Amino acid sequence: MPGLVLAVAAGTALAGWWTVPLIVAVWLWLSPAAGSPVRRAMLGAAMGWALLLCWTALHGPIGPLARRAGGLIGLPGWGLVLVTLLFPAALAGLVAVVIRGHGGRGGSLRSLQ
Amino acid sequence: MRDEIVGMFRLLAALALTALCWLASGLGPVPPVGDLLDPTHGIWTLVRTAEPPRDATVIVPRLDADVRVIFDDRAVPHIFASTELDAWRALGYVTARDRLFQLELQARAGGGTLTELLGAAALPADREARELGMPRGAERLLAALPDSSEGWRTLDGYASGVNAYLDKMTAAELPLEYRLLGRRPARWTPIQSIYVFMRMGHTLAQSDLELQHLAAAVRVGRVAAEALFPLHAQIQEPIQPSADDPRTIATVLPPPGAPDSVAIEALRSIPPAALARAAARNGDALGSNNWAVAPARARDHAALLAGDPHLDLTLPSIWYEAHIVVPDAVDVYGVTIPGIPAVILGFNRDVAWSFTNTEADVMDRWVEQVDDPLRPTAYRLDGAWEPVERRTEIYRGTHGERLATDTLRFTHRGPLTRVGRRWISTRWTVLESSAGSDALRAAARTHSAAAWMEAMAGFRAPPQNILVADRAGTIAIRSTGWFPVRADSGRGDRLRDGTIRTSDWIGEWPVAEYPQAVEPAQGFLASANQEPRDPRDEHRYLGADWPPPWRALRINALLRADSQVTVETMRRWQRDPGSARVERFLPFLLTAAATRGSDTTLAHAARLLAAWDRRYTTENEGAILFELAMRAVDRRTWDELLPGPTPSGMILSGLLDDSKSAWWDDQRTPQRVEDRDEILSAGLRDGYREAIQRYGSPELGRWRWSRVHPVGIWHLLHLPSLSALGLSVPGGPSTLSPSSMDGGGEGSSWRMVVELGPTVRAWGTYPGGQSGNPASVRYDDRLPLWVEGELAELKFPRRPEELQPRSSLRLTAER
Repeated sequence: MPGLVLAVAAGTALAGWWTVPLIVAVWLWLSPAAGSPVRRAMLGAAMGWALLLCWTALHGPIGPLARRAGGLIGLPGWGLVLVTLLFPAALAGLVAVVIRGHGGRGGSLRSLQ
Repeated sequence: MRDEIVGMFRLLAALALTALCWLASGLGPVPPVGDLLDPTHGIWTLVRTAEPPRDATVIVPRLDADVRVIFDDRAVPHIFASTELDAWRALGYVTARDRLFQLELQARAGGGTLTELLGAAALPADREARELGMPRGAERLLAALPDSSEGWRTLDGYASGVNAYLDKMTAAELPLEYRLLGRRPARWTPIQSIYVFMRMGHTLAQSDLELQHLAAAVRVGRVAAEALFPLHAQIQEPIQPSADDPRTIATVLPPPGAPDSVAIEALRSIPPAALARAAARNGDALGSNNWAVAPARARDHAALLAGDPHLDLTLPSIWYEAHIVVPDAVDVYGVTIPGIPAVILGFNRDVAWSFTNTEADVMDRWVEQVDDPLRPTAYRLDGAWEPVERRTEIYRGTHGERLATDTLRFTHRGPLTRVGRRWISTRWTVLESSAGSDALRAAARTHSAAAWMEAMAGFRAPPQNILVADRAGTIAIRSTGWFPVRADSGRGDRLRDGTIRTSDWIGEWPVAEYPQAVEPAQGFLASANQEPRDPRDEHRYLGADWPPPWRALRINALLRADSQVTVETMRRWQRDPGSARVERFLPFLLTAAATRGSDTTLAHAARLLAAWDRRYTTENEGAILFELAMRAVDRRTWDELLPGPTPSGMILSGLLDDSKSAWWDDQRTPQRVEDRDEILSAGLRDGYREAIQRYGSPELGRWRWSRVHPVGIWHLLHLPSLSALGLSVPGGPSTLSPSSMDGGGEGSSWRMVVELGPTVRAWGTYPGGQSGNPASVRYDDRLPLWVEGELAELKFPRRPEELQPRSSLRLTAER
């Protein structure tokens, strides 16, 4: 999973959020069947963005922005951080559900069980 | 079966994934969520750009030489340039860096193109700007500026600075507002600066005097209307001082008369929105102050100057603080308005200045006779038909689509608009005055109050009460601007006959005849938007229905009482919670209540009011009762006029001396004729009941002024989470730091105190911060200081080495 974390982080940094589903799909195709790919995909994607957020936080406090921008959609500051992490997790989880069982070595239906 | 369930599950997931990606890419009015949340390309990147780099070098085309910009610990740029033009280029650059969205928004507001940024919702605002002739006026002013003129070159230089920033701006630096709107910033051109100036004129120099008169005449006749909205203030504490200030001009209000049929006909043609705006004017709650004392009245024997313009408070602030140093040319510190290449209020090494709005009437309206009541092509003038100039205005949406098309018409006077069945043309000095920023720049170079006043003679609009003090101890004030001279009655507060050229403006006041004072014997000067000159000494028309002089009375009383003024005193006065209005009305309310001894509710209200210390401090619990009582008195007294515009508190003040005036009579009780004390006591009773209804019994402690009177500073797009709301500050209607009773968004926008000793020292602050980036601590870092009424000492270094830089920027010419 560290590979997925780094790949999501790198893909997002280089090209944008839309790389998340693609990277997860590739990762699912390449990764071994062990464990739950949906859960791992979600966690890996969220951690990839968490890594990027931490890197951002090194440049300055994210609190003021989180509070103000979160307020735009009625969320507290931590809520916006949470939404930011849930978004790639949702993308990754949905991709994993869609493509499980298709071709890839890790794509077994058993992975959902 | 199991496979079918799993298949269905996968199908649903695929649909959900598609929907999520679609949403994330932007769906209709929903901004692209994916782009916004992306930690490396979305809004989070604003954290990385919140603080400027510690030391950066950027290329700015066409610079004459390198420019150093040092940002101090308050994020104020100190711009050290070799030429003035380079300094304005650098100012354009740093302003764009800190306030890019505000720059564009304000310029679009002046140019009537907000719809291209905000969409169709902004169409009414754009229509208003264009119908007022602002874009056309700006185009004409720009066309009249020769390419070689200082004015043009400065506007062009400023634009090149803004555009240099746009050229180097990374995606990470795109302001939040553009991301939310899904827009990109437009390039800056010189005309945008003129739009911003026009916008300032729109805020400060519009008048509805004609409408107020009409609305009042419809209800109570012309004679009464004339007295309710009079030419002159009844309480004189003018800007140009006299030996016997303040004085009251005793007047008796004529009783309400029969409705005026001509006014009824005329009013039918006025749009309700315009009338509502005229009715909503609240002269007691708005205004600006400035004052200065000569060395003889200052404890440290140096001239002192204070200024605090009251404007709409916004985040980011209307002001951007900057210091500009060009050796042997200019060394000026103060506040600029983003988009205008000039320091507007501030000081240099020898002189300090601040403005208040003159409130002069510089906008007149003419009733025109046209050839076609629906689509006029000509208007009658001195018996001949003159062609109407037509201009097609296209309003475009955010994607360039056409939202609306208007045909605007113009006479030689200005925009011609259809108002009901009539066509009215408007002439407004703001549309024809280009030299504002030229004068400000010239004044910044001067070394004495006299030279500064001379340089400011070119300032045309919006008219300002310009106050100056210098290190030699001279203090001076002048109401400055283009004041039209009218033919016939000379008055601009009436609709004028458009069919004759002799009703046009026939000239303007010479500068020497403007209201002014230099080194007055009293040793101090002050202005607070009051009538500039006592009508006893000046008979010409300058304006009408002047704001009540409560603040002027208060400042002058404080200044008269203190001959050892200090910087600290000046700072304290800027938030003085006392009110001349309260001193005038409160005794009458108490006396009136005393005449109704049997009314226990009233007696209780009067006891509370008598115990009030007459101050609008944040913890005060008496101010709310007084304000609600005054509102009720206003409603009961001016019931003949409602829902139209009502007279200012000054007229009500004059009415106090006529206890049997017909105006005191309540129209709802035809069987009785009320007098002053009945209305005042009824108003106090109403106010008390309303206070209890709203806030409960006074013993519950919910009448605290800070609780009922919060101040809100709204973000430019009115987004609550980007605003600072519910701030607790002292001050109320007619105090030196005024605001309306319901709080609201106006207030002291830049407080400054300058001491002109051997070395000029200054203190100041504004509500907000230098940065427009909500991720920056500089977005609102000055708010606590502003709320507390404290001022920061302003760093005024001669050389870059004198500063401890927080960050620095080297602007270098293109290679």
